Amino acid sequence: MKAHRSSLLPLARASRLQPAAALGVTALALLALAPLALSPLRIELLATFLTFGLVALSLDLIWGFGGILSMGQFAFFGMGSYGVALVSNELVDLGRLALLLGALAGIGAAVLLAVALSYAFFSTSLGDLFVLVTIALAIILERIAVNQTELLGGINGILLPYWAVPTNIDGYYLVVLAVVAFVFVATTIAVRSPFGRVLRAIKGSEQRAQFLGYDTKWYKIAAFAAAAGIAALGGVLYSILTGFVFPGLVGFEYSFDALVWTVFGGMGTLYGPILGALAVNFAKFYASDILLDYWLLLIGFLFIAIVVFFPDGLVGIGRALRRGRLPRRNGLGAMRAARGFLTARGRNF
Amino acid sequence: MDVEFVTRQLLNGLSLSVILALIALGLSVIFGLMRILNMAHGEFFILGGYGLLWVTSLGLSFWVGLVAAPLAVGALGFVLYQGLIRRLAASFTAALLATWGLSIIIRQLVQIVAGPRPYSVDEPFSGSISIGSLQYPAYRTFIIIAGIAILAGTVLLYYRTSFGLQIRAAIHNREMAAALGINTQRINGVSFFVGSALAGLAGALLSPLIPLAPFAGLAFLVDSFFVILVGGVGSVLGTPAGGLVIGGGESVLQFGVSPLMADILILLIAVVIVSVRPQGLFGTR
Amino acid sequence: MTKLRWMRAFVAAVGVTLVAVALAACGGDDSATEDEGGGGGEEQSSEPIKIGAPVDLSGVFAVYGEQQRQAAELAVKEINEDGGINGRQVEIVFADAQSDVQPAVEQVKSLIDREQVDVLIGIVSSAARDAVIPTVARAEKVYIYPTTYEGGVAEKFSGKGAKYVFTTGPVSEQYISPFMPYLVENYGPKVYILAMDYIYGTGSAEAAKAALADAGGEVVGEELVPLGTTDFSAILNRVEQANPDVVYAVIAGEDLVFLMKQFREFGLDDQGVTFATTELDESYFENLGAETVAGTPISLPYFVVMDNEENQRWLEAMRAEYGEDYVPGLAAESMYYSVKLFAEAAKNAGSIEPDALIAALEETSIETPQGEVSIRKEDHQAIMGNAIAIVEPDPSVPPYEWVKIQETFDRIEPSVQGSAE
Repeated sequence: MKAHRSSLLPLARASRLQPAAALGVTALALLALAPLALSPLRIELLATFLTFGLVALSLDLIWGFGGILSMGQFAFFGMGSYGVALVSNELVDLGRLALLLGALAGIGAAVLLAVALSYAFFSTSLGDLFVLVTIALAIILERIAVNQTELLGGINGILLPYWAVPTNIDGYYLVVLAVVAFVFVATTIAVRSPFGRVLRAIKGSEQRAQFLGYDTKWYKIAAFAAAAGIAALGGVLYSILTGFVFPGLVGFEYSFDALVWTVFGGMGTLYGPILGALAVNFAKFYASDILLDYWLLLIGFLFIAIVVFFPDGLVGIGRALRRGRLPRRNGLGAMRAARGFLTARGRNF
Repeated sequence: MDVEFVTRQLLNGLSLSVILALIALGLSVIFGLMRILNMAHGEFFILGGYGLLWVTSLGLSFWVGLVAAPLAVGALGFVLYQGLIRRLAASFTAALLATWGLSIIIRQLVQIVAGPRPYSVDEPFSGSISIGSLQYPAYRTFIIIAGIAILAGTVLLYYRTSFGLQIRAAIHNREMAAALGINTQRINGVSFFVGSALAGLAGALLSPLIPLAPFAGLAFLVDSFFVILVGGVGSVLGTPAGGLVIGGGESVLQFGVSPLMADILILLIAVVIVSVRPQGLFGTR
Repeated sequence: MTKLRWMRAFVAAVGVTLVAVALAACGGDDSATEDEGGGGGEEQSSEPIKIGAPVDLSGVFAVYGEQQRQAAELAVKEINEDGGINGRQVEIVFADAQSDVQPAVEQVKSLIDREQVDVLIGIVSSAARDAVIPTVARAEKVYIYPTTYEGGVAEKFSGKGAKYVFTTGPVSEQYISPFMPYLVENYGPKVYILAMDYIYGTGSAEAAKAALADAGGEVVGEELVPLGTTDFSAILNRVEQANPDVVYAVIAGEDLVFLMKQFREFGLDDQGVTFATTELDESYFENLGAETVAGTPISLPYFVVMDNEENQRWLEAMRAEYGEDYVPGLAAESMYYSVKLFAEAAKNAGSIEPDALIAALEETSIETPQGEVSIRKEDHQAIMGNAIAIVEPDPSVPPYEWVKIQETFDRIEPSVQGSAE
């Protein structure tokens, strides 16, 4: 019986995958064709918000799949951005190569910092309260960025050299889209791989995973480092596109916004947070256009509305359409979903 | 390093600790009970201040406002709980997003109604009292005394009354408490009321000392996170302790090192405490 | 089973495509690329001139954004009542910069591309200003930055867009350099400087030190204070020990409120130390209370009590529009004259084509509520006067009248901020 089932499993999974993959490819194609239909401003916004989407995706990876809440993902985004900004201003003679070096420096620094922090804190008995570390990280980095005027541009931030900013926005947009698609596919494969399964097991109950013989610390460190790298990559793409970096980019406010985008879009899906980042940021842009004085009220209500009707986020809309009705807030299921923040009491239901 | 200066620093730290503890208490108990973070909690703080401002602008005395504003804020908290938050309490992320949406709305409404410019409330009494050779502002002393009294009262309520026992039971093991016949819904509602009222009280108390602006609540919210994590989530005794660490640390460290380093050190101390004792100073696992 | 899934996926794909097409279509009229550079240039004499005003209507700078909006609306109204500019009416479009850099850039791009504004006036945050300048330069639109700032914009963007940028707000040097000699003369040479620890504060501190050196003053202490400091006890303790004649503070906003209150609490004024600042304006008086502000020397280019015709006229107009109790701040006043400056230059040039406009702005000077303001050609920096005053509380008059002007200066030329080409 077991043998029969396990041989059927890959087939079942594959067939479940393909329609979803087809949908994804459609979406990607539409996005790729966007420059033909949308104005340059919208393409630019789309590209910018896609880089934000990378941060949201990174948060989903570490929190949605790993159960580790990070309220400081933008600290890594900012490190990527500042890396590019600093190096390109310093090594002007190298031209485009400086951008690459800056990207490597920024992403590398982010990953190293992530490894160092997570190693230090996951080695002790508790990574649950790691959220405190991530908040502290964002706050401290922002303070330093504001403070160091000569080194880091201070409160005004840094402008990238003029040659660094692409003139062909459509082209750059496609680059960003390609990167985001690649990262999405890569992380999707990763979470479905054995590594990903262990990660999700750790999220469910770290103790149990440990009892099964896994050295959970390293899985968490790897996930956190990957998330940091992805966020930093987003930062690199952002700073090249916009041509500027500023202290707010490393700070807590933006990091919290990333949380909002991720939850709004739908955690645990990897594409939901990207949608969430796009949706929230475009909503803010157009809302402030329509209702100059009251648009924030609109946004607040939007957040409440999505949570009331689709607690799973935007991805819940898709599921609801499929099922033909609004999602029911199932108490038990939702409680399971809520696990993973501050304390795992070791209870096993 | 004179005694006067150190005493003043300690007293400043104490007043900040008391305020932080009042704000964080509500957040902590609500998290302990419902496992959700109320992102609008900082707005309750600022609404307490604005409430007091409004009451005094009607011609009523400061003291009337000091009682009325927290009660009104508590009522608002209760209504929001009943109307919205209760339905979402099952999901941490849903409650997070919804309460954040609420906080955006409240902030914007405050700005629309009261305007973005900062307001100030007059101190009900000025002057200073003498502590030894030190002259310390009388109103700040009042904040310390009143704050400690309220906190002590809350702790007593929590540890000495049967209602407090019910709350403690529900925090410790919600399902068991419900199974034992404790009305957890009612406890949630009352805790929301009390927690919000305490935050509002903190805002009302502090209003003569800080400029009241729509954004003033956010900074205290982040500090509150640290307070409850250091003190122990859900622990009513731990929250004042956490407040002491964060608030006291912020004040005391400032005189030795530059304020920027002081902030960094405080954050690091908090992180260290929490890694050494992950459940917080007084939390239980 | 699988076929059903495929069908559903197909329907979903079609649905998503339809939604996407719909979204794209309803914004299809965004296409402004052709009009970018020459948009404002060629005169269509019946089409209104559009001013784009990115102001902070939400967030921490909302206080200033609101002032800027009110002042700009009045300015535009007056311009139109006067016959418009070159026969064309003026329209102003506001956008919310949200006190943040990324939204500011988004909104500026929106104003340029979607609203097709001819000129941009606004923004408070220096970071946002720096971030938008490349955009306005690429779009070849004149941009007027009306806020008090740290200086150096022309140099930073020289050859990279500075040509289009006009900084009509005062550089801190402008109101600091005449202030230091006054302080030394009236209160004593020993000065303790407290400055906010970022470029505006440090730049101001440098200006203060230079001015003090010239005036024979002595800097007995200098401290950089992080933004958001609420407890100044440690700092005030060190001040007390240095025993200065004057504490000069470049601290703004909430921090200033805390500092001043604690300064009095500490009793430093009783010890003969005078608290002087260039960041205190009338809007703080009520919050701080008479006792805290009494006797403070302040120095700014504009005070509400300034006694000139233009100021009286403007105050009347603002009050007619916004209520008898309306008290403008520096943000309102500089926004107002910035809009008027643009209008005057456009009229002088007879056109709003960027190069003509730039040339005209470089030569324009107008009477403003604070006196005459003109643009210095070299760095596009506004040159203006200054006033030094002392706060003397009087319960019988509204707080803004507590300002007693001691000295006025017609024209202060700060050091050249770079080359605006």
